[in-house]
Amino acid sequence: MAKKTQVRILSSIGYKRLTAEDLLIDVINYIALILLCVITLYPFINTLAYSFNNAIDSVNGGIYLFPREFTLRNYEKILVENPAISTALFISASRAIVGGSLSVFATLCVAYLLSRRNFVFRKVLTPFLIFTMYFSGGLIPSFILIRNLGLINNFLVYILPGLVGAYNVMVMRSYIEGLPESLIEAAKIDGASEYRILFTIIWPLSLPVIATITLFVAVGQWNAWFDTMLYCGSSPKLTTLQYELQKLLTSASAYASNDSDAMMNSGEAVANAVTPTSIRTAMTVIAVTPILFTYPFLQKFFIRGLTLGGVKG
Amino acid sequence: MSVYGNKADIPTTRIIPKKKKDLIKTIIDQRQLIILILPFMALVLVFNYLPIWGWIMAFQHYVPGKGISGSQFVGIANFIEAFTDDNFINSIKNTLLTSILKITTGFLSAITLAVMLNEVRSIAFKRTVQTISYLPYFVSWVVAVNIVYMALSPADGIVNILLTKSGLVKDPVPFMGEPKYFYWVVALSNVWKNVGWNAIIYLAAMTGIDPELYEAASIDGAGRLRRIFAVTLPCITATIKILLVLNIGNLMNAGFEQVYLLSNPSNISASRTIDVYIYTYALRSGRLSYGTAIGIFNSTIAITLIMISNYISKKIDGYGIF
Amino acid sequence: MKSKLSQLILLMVVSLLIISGCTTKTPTVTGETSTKAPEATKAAAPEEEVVLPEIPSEITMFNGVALTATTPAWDTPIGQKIQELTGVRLNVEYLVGTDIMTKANLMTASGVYPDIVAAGETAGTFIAANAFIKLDDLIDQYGENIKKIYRPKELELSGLQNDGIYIIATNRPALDNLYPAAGFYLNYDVLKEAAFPVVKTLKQYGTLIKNYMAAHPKYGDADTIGFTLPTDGYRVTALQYGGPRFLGGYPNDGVTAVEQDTLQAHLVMKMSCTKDFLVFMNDLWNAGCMDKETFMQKDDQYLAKISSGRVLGIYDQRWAVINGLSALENNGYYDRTLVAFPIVVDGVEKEYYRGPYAFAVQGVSITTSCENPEGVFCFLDRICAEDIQKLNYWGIEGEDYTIENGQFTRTLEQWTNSFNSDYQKSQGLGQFNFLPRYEQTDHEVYAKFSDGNWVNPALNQEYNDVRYKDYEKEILRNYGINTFCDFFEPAYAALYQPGWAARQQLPQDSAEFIASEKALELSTEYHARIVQADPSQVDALWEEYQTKLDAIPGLADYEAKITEIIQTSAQYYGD
Repeated sequence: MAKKTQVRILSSIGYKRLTAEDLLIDVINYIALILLCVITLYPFINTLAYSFNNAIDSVNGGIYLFPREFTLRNYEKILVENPAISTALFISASRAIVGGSLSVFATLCVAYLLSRRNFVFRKVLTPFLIFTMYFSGGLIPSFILIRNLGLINNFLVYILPGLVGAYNVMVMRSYIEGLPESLIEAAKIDGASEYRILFTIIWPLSLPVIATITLFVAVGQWNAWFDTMLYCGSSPKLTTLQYELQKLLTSASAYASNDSDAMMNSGEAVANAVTPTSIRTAMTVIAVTPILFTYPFLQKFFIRGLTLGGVKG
Repeated sequence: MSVYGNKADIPTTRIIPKKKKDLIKTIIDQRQLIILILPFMALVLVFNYLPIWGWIMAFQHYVPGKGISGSQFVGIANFIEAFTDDNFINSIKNTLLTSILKITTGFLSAITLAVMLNEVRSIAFKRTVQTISYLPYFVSWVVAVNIVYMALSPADGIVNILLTKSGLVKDPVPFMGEPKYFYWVVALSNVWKNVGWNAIIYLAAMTGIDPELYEAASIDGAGRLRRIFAVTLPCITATIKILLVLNIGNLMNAGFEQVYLLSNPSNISASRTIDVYIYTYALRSGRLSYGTAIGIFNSTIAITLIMISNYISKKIDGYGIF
Repeated sequence: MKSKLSQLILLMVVSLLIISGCTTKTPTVTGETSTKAPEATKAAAPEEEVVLPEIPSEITMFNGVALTATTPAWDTPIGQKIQELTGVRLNVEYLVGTDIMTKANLMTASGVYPDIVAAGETAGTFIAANAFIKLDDLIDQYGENIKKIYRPKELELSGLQNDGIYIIATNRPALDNLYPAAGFYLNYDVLKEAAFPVVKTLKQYGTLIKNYMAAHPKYGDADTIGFTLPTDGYRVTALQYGGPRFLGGYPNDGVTAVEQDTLQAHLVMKMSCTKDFLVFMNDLWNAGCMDKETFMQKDDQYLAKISSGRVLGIYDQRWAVINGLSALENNGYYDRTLVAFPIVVDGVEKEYYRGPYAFAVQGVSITTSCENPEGVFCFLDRICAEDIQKLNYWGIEGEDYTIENGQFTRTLEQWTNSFNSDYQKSQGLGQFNFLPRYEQTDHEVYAKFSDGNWVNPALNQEYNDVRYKDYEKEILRNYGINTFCDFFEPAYAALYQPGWAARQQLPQDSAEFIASEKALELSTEYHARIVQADPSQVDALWEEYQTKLDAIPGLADYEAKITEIIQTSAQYYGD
């Protein structure tokens, strides 16, 4: 009972009775949100429909919500006929879980430290970190660095370079700075070390932002393929899901250089039984589905909210 | 701001000592903190700052075969070439217009969505809407742009059908066929694709709002709308400010994939942004020096912008991000 | 709380170390396993028979194209057979997600390469970086099979382009005798109504479209589309120079049109045939016969229009619209299919749509990182032997074809399989075109196996009958022709290096190359504007456009350089 009331309080309505203003706002709100759902759901449903539709028939276009000629062939091609998929799934999952959690931990430590106003290096390290968002040495120098460090074809190259993301740190730091200073003061008076404060006070209170950053980082790791291409392209044991999926896009995509003049020298043309559209859409569905299942788990932390009475200093 | 504002108090006394021996004492006192942060900062130094030596390529005529040590030094020739190229100047203008519009619409939409979701009382509905609203984030731009083209088609696109049937316009509007619409197409399609995802941060921040504040406000007689402006928004001001300052630094970055895919022969004068320019004239031709030079220009502007916006932010309420 | 968190972190760190340990290879990029030193090395051996170097059992390769099959070629039945015959497993890395230029830059920056690289158009970058080894000596000593299937002049030409032979061409010329590679297409229904005319000129083409559109403004529920072009991404070359160049009576030389007698190259965008093309489209546009979305459609939308049967005319290359045509066929709209014609503007005598087929353009190279170049070269040479080549082109004997009286023959089922791209990819048929191979022309010596069978299944006498579908045969009957290529001048062996190959030889950061890129971008913008403009504006806009083109520095140099390359190459062509 108490929990339910606590949860209900979280919107700004308080626990007064409904007024006319409340009702009006609710109605407008609900309608607007439903409209939003319609336009944001559409691309995904459309993608789903194309992915289950026969590839040659898809060329005709005109598929909106449902497939016209249902087939599992597109998925079959990607999941069943591709021997590298199981390795790819494992590596991508490892990146997301292992890399994700380590990165969140690192972010938390750095964010906490940068939130301490009396930290001696704060004024130096904060811009030091932030500026990294706006410049890059370039693809070649980074590549040479990674090679010199021996990280080519090494799983660590997926984890180490991006371990501390400036953006994530800033978001987390902003949240931590919003936490009541009094708790930390009280803990310090009690003689707690910084580690203790971090783990026993900051960590439980920051669950919403930690859940958010976990989501960002894990999704980033799950969707990454460019680093695979750069650093692990010749190592089949380190392939990732998105990289395998990217491989399947034929050269008729926007990026791959395609000398159409040279193509004319090559003789007979053959129609593709699996067109780029059908591969792209099946790819999207395969990559997104695990995220859809993980997100509700993280969502709990957003709704849970602040439980002030929970942790006594 | 407001009476019901942020509860964090901001100390005004100087904390970091100026004298040298006090400084050393402070370092020793805070050694736990320093040890904790050191390895991570070392990683940042190695992976982000070390590659900067590659910037020297911008002052060379880099030939992949000869490497950096073997390539000829040309001073600022690359920079001069960029600034005397009409296409480049034009691309700067396009980038700025696109970015400003993207950032503005992005912010307003994400915050509005977060506020709206925050006002929903049914947990099930809230979760459902949240999940659905971020789905487009995962659909790649290639797929998304195809949908945009179809929706905006003058012949049978849904947007034009609605506009003409409702009588708002007489003839279908060729959104993708004229440069003047381009910036809005980019901004609004960006909103559609990212609003759900961007709202997540604000929602997380909103869960940190002390419910007592709402109680106090409603006891004082504030209506629903008033409570939003008096409690919800001020409490996430810190988050908004951080994200705004960080995003202003990205003004020169209008995004490559989305813009490239949305460009076509008809709107090319508007759709040639800096990233597309670099792709066409530097990357595709293997002119790495040229690309690096433009990249340095971008980074310099970005860092200058962020320092300016931070300064302004401090002037407003004494609190900047660094 | 603390112990739970630290336990979690500890778990993650341990997992990290385990995964890194299990997945890390010893850090070399090249194939480092089991390469033995060449057993008995070469020249000084006084014996009659040269003892060949040992071929390593694992070779690494980078292939500069994207993978199009889910089953890697080496795992297919044919791939397995090749592995048995050569004793080699090829580990191929394909181009993923970026363009080949970026990848080439990365590879040359790292300085470490796989054993073999198929560099495509970026060969120049690798050669400048000293990434490839010269193959001249190796070809002389060990290149038995290669010397059999590559024309001597072709090898000479390959050597001419750089200071030695670095590349063995794999983009060998091939003939398609059934369908023209490119053309101005017309909807079959238009042809039926006009009593099967043979369309020769641009004017005729335009009139046919306009008349038909006046009579049939709609097809089903949707509007008929008179004419449209592909304009998405790199497809815009049709608008920039593809169509105009053929209209002017010039062969496919990329961005340039080459005078066939003097071998002078000119930029297509500056020529009158381009203006004629634009005026033609402008005319159609203002008559309401052109697709209003021509300049703002994605390739998917373009193909969807074709497959719906509404489109009356396009200019395109067959390989690019084949999916649309297949879908059209799938839908059963047989009399809405598109038929290609080699139209030209007034005053042009000869058309070159099918044009020359060319040699020595792109291929594979052996890198300086290779530890056993002789062995790897022997592998490449072994691939050129007839048994393996037959596997690639015809398949497994008994499964994909049989031999009767010395002739290759296939049942209807086998033929159908060989056309099916799914079957091709899973069986491995034609999946080894990235390695050295035969050419697929109609040359009596170089395009035939030693038993007299054609290398190219398309030249087999059964082919035409099997390949054409019934509705296509009807079209042929109505016109009284044997193949769709009969409207066109025959294809022929090139007399000089084609302009598009010559372009690849220019250093990519030279002023000339950049000038050509700028010209292309300008043409995209202006061509679109001119077509959509008011007729009274067309001349003024064209003048403006030409002035801006002339103002691009280095453009004249580009034409001069291409001319030079072409003229020098002429001596190596035409035997």
